[in-house]
Amino acid sequence: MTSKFNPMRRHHEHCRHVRAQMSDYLDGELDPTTTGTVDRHTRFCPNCRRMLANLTRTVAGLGALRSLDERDDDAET
Amino acid sequence: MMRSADDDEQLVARSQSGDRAAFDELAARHSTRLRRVLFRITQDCDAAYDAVQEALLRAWKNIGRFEGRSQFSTWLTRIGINEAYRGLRRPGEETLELTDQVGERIPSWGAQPDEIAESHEFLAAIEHALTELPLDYRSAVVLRDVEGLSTAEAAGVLGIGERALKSRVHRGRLALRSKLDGYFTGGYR
Repeated sequence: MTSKFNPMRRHHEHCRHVRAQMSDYLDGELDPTTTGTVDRHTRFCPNCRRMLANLTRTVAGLGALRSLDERDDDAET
Repeated sequence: MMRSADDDEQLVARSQSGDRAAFDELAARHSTRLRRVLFRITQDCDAAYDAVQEALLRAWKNIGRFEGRSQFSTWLTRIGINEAYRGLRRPGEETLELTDQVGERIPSWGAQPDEIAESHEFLAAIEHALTELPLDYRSAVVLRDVEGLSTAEAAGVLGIGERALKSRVHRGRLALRSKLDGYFTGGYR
């Protein structure tokens, strides 16, 4: 007899749900409950934790492009 | 030189009274940034330059209709993007295919995030990855994350709803993150 409960599938569904929230999480646009959900999941799920860390660096890098542009603009004027 | 939004308001008011010199000052303040934004979106230096010129012309003709509900720079960017899009394919034709990656091992990018974010190599890798995004996603990411517009402002510039803008930004960021894995795992750091 096989159980209908599949913990790995459930975990992956949770990963999908959390990853879908990551941009709003980074932008500070989640409600406290969902923020807590993302915090708890990424604390225990190494792949989602790395996904969030890498996404954070991607967004930081995009912002750094703007800083670089502004430095170039200042140098031109 | 002061370049505050308050100064822009005064220059806009003078421009709306027909003061061409005031409008030229607005153009001088904002055209460099606009050209940079349009280049990042079109990936074509000539197209970006032409779109800026057209945008400034249209902005001058229509300055009387500018109601000040957004910043002048946001309004001008919207006009510029419309001009730039004219020479490109119609927006919405290209979709972004993303693999789920759930259950796959996500590579670690290592430590020292501040140094990485400031690294010229990393920024060059991001610039390159941006060029590979479909136009709609690239535009959303450039406005939101590179130019630092709010969700509402970026949605307004692109003429789409905030929900659609957020979706494009999120998918664009995920695609960039995935492309940048190669920077860290490809051995050219």
